[in-house]
Amino acid sequence: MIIWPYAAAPAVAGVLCYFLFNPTVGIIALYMKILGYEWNHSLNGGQAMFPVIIAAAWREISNNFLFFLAGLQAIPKPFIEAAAIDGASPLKRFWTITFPLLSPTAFFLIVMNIMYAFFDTFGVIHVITDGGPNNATNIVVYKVYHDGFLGLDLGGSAAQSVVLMIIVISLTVIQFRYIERKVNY
Amino acid sequence: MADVSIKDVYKTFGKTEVIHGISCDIKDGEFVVVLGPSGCGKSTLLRMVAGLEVITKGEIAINGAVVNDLEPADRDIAMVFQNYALYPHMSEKNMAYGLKIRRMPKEEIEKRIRNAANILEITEFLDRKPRQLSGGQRQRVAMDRCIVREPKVFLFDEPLSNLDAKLRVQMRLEIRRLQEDLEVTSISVTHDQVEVMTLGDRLIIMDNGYAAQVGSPLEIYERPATRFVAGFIGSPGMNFLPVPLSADGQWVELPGATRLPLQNGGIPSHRGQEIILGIRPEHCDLAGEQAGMMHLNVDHVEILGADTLVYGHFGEDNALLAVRLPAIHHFEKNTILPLVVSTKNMHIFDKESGKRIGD
Ligand SMILES: Nc1ncnc2c1ncn2[C@@H]1O[C@H](COP(=O)(O)OP(=O)(O)OP(=O)(O)O)[C@@H](O)[C@H]1O
Ligand SMILES: [Mg+2]
Repeated sequence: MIIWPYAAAPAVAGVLCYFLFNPTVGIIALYMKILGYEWNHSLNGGQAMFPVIIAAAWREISNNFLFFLAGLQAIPKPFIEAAAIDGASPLKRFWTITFPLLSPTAFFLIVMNIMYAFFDTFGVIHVITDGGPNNATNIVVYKVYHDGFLGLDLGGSAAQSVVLMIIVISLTVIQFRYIERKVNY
Repeated sequence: MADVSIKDVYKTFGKTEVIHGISCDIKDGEFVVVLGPSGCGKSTLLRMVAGLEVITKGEIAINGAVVNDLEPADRDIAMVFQNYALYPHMSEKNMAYGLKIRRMPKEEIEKRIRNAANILEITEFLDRKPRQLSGGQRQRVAMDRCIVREPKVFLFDEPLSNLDAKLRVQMRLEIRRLQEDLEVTSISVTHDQVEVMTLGDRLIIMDNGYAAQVGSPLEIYERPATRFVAGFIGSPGMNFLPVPLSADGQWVELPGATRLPLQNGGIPSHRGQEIILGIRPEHCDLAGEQAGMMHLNVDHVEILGADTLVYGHFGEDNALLAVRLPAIHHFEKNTILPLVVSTKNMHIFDKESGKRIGD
């Protein structure tokens, strides 16, 4: 069940969230109204990021799940058994053995997820908010598209995309520099 | 310090039973070695003692207390795994791990690690991660991880199988010395012939989930209970010859019409039947031309240095025979060697059941 979202296209995930949170027909918006919370993400910029995040994260869960599952299965059983003999409780075994051994997988996923957040959330944003309201969800990839193809400011758009590239490269370099050292064994 | 009692233990995986009732009482401080062909259930037996496998039927008790339902953690045992299973992300913490979990004070942990590292001479490797160690060093760290715990029972699953011959001899001595110093009850699984004879106080020879024989190494060497055990202990293995027993049960007839008298009154119960005669390669010797009981046609010679192995055939139906002769001999192929057999070291087995008969 957890891997089903992976089969859904980003835009589909977006449409799903769009309807769930839609102020007039959305079931989640309805419940929130019942609970006394005024929900209208098409007007309220602070709220608009929320359905975007939900839709994007929901789609990525499956991807991460698959990697963690593979990572878990790759941990040789004797390590866990040795820890059991050493007297560690199941919870302790997880934190001190399984979790550190998963850290390379986790590191890889952090890098991939950050890239995802920067680039592949485009479809979700496009469907749910179109970058609005008032630019609240107008992240860089979306702005590149918006300025370049809708605003026809090709120069500015190109410059932004270079900036975006530099941001992502430097983030990745930082991750490799500082985190990888800790997760490798 | 503990005794371990294994009482009529069975193990079933799904529908297949892999251990069919094994019993053994291991005394405090004793070193028991389990030997058997691949897949006979040695590791499974060890893992049941460790608590890593559920015991299907029967009882395992440590110090008189049945541990069937105890978690591995509560059994106070330590185990060296075949591939060592050192936690790859820890260095000296590998050894401290079990102690930390038992909430031992820091100074005590350090003291124990330093002691154990001294015993096995690995002080200089303490801050290395397992992947930075050689096989032999890993092995020693794995041993150390057990020693620092000061458990009631040591379990070793083929601890020396990954080492080269020289290191193996060294580690074998080290294990034995350690075990004698610490006087910890130990159970070890092995394939190695020499290890079997020298490491253990007692052996359990396993055959397909049964304990074929339990006894001291010498006992098993000198009086193997079955043909299987006889063939398994000793290298090269015992020679088996199907031969007829005389009508009065007092002698056997070798191919080539030589009569070998039996010791201790013969085997009247099997008179006239065909039996299996077992002769160890080391119990044959060269003889003068006249005195030879059989004449071996040499096929192949292996010179080991201290002694020489000669493989050949003899008699009209070309029975195969391996012989171990002291010192170095250079025999050409097809040389005829007159041999004598030490009649007091012969073993007789029933042809059908494979059980030892006579004395
Ligand atoms: N988890 C399991 N599920 C099913 N069968 C198993 C399992 N573990 C072991 N077996 C079977 O039990 C039998 C005994 O296995 P075990 O590992 O004890 O053999 P072994 O004597 O240690 O062999 P080796 O010398 O090769 O290590 C084998 O036939 C094996 O196929
Ligand atoms: Mg095994």
